[in-house]
Amino acid sequence: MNILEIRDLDSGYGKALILQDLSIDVKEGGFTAIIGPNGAGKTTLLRTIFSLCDLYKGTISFRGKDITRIKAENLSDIGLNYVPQEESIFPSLTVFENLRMGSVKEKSREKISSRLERVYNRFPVLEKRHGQSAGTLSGGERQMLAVGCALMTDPDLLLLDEPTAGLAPTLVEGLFQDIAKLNTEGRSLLLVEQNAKMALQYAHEAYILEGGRIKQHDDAANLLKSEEIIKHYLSV
Amino acid sequence: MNRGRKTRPRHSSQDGVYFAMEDLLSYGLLTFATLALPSLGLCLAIKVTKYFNLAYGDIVTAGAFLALLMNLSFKINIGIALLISIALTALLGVFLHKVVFKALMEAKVGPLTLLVVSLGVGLVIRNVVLIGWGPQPYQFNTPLTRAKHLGPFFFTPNQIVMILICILVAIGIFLMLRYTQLGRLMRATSDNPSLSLIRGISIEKVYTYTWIIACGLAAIGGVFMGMLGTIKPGMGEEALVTLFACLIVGGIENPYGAVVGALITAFAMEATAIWISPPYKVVSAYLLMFFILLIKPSGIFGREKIQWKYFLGFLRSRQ
Amino acid sequence: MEILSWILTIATIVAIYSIMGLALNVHFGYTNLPNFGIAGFFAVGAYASAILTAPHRFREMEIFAGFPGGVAGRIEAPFIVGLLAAIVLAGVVGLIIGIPLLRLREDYLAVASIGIAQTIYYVAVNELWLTTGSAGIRLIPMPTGNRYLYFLLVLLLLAIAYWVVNRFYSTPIGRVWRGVREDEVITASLGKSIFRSRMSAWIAGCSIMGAAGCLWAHYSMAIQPGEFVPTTTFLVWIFVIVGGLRNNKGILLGAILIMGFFEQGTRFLPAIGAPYIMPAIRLIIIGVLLVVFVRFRPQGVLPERHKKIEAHIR
Repeated sequence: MNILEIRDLDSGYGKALILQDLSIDVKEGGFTAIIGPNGAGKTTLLRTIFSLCDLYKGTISFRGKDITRIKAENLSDIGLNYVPQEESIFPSLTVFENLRMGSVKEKSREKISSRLERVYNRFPVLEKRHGQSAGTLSGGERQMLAVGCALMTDPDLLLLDEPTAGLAPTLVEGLFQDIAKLNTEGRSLLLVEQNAKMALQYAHEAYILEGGRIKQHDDAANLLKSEEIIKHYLSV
Repeated sequence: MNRGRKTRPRHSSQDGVYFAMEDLLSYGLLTFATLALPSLGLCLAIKVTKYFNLAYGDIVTAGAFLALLMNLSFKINIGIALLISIALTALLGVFLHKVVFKALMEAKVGPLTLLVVSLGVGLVIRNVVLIGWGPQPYQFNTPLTRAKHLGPFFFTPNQIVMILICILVAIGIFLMLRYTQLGRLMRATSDNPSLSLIRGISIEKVYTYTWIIACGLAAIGGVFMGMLGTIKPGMGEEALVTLFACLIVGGIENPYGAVVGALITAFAMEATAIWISPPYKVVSAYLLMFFILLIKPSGIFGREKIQWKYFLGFLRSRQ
Repeated sequence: MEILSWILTIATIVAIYSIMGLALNVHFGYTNLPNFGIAGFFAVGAYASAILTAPHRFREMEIFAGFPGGVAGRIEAPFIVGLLAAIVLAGVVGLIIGIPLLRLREDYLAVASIGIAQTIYYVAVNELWLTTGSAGIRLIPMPTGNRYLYFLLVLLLLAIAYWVVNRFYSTPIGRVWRGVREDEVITASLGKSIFRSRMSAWIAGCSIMGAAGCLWAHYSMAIQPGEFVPTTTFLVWIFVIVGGLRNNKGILLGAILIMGFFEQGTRFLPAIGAPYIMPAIRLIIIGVLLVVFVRFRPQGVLPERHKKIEAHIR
């Protein structure tokens, strides 16, 4: 059973066609990684899923329902959320206000406070900093906050755009463990990552995106063994 | 912004310096009361929507004339006329946003295109007002009151009420921005509109509320300008660059800066009027703006250092 | 005969405004400097030439009427001196103003330049010794003495301005200007000073606006500060946008369409009601037209020839 199905997708910005003929599946409870070099269209793919790019052709269905016509601001209502790569927090709001923005449409105060508590349990450092303005956080704390905000809607499928970009190497491992934990708790994940080695170690299956097209698709474990992948993506 | 300076003769005493200082304090505060709220409104509009709306000056005019319509034609008390004018001007702002600017913003045109369009919108508003009321100046029908000395100040009761309204409304807006959900939404949208969409914020609604607040403040400013001077179709256009001077002095997207900038600009203008030449008081606001742009473009509260080198090093610098 | 004279009036005004439109194209079309202070430079050129060329008779009349005689009418220089003074002075004012302005982001520049034009306006109203205030300067001589010949003179200067502005497009300096417009960082990395190239475009445009001001003063033979209000600036912007930003032919077309038909062509229609009604309706139509054009045809009637900067910036 697939939670997300993308079929024959063409998309881009304005007149610039970036993604062509893309088909991608994410299994219910699965952890799918998309790896590829800079400029392959990875971010564009996630932005297209989230209705932030122009879609020319193809379908995107979430739980069998077409979501290409749903506006970006309403996608978090149906159990989907997105952690963008850069500028994933509001720097002039406090940590608490950022998390509150995460569940801006939720009416029930109990739900908000229980989710807030869960985020604080998962990332205790955020609770320590809850009154601090988010612009003053360190890179790792920012990423935790960005993931925390996305969790405030309790999504079934989380799109993650290079969550470890720009982080100190010592923090990368920890963040990947946090992300993998999200998956073992039952959330489906679609991760876009340049750090292919890490991504393939934690993900179940992976797609290789190059020049806006899918080049390869296999189980992560197989890709990790493939010589071509080792040559192109895993060697330093 | 022609102040009716007939309340008493200036420099009437031998002790001219004392009276000049007193004038500066009184007129400075009054000018501040006319500038603070519209500059705060313009600041919020720019902060959230990220473009300079040059029709804002004419929205100030519209606010003054809507109050004039209530006050003169329907014989409504000026206080109630002000409230009705706030509501109607807010409605006008929302209408303009929905009809003109929304589609352009969704088409992702640049801030400069929106600026040019807002000029056209301003031209339309100004000339509709001109057709409706003609070029001659008007005054509100307000009960006559006597000016009184209050410590170093010299105000009529109306003027005291104006200054109090101005300060209270400004504090109210600050509290709203800091502590309410709408304030948080406005700050979030200002920080990053596309992330706001991802978080599920309807930024279109935030824009609408921002325009309601900005145009409400414009209406108060227009009525206050009319209370102190006269009401004519070009008043807002004249005030527009002064409002921008207030914003630039305080830092263009900083609401506290907008009010402090209005205070500084108001006193600079009145000091010019007293000691240099009354016709050049507006020019002094512009010069203050150029000076700030020259040495510290982010305003007096900006993080960058003062760049004195712009004064001297411009011919030598390669960049 | 009356029709011919009317056409001549329109044609002269359209030609003078076209010169300003071409100057705006140097500022905004080539270099992305949104100058909203056109009226200011227009005024500088007009007043420079008017003050220098006004006859002694004007000063004598002022003194006779009880005003202190100002600078205007002291010199009574020939037209060519006035034209050169207008060009040079507008360029110098542009230089002084450009120092703070040209470092700004484009939208700040737009607002600040409105302030500049307003400052020049206030100077024109209040410095009686220089400009004779809101009464204005009268009796400015028309150099050819004949409106038909004067129109040919304006046309000649328009042709020169058109040729110069067109030349700018393909000369090395014009390429640097467009380079600055498209990508400042790349242009700077090629060793071009952004500030200096902006400044050269700025001064060139300001001087052309000054020349237009001079032509205006000698055409209308009397100038007042009220002619140099922001509305003048907006009219230039509007016909440049409608005609086609960054395309010199489009600017001429826009000037004919907007200035010709709307601004001047309706001037002789019967007035409805009070005298201010017709101009107001005209400006409303122009404002709506601007909004409609930006919304549905942002590139104007005639778009720019080449969209992107040439690969080689020398």
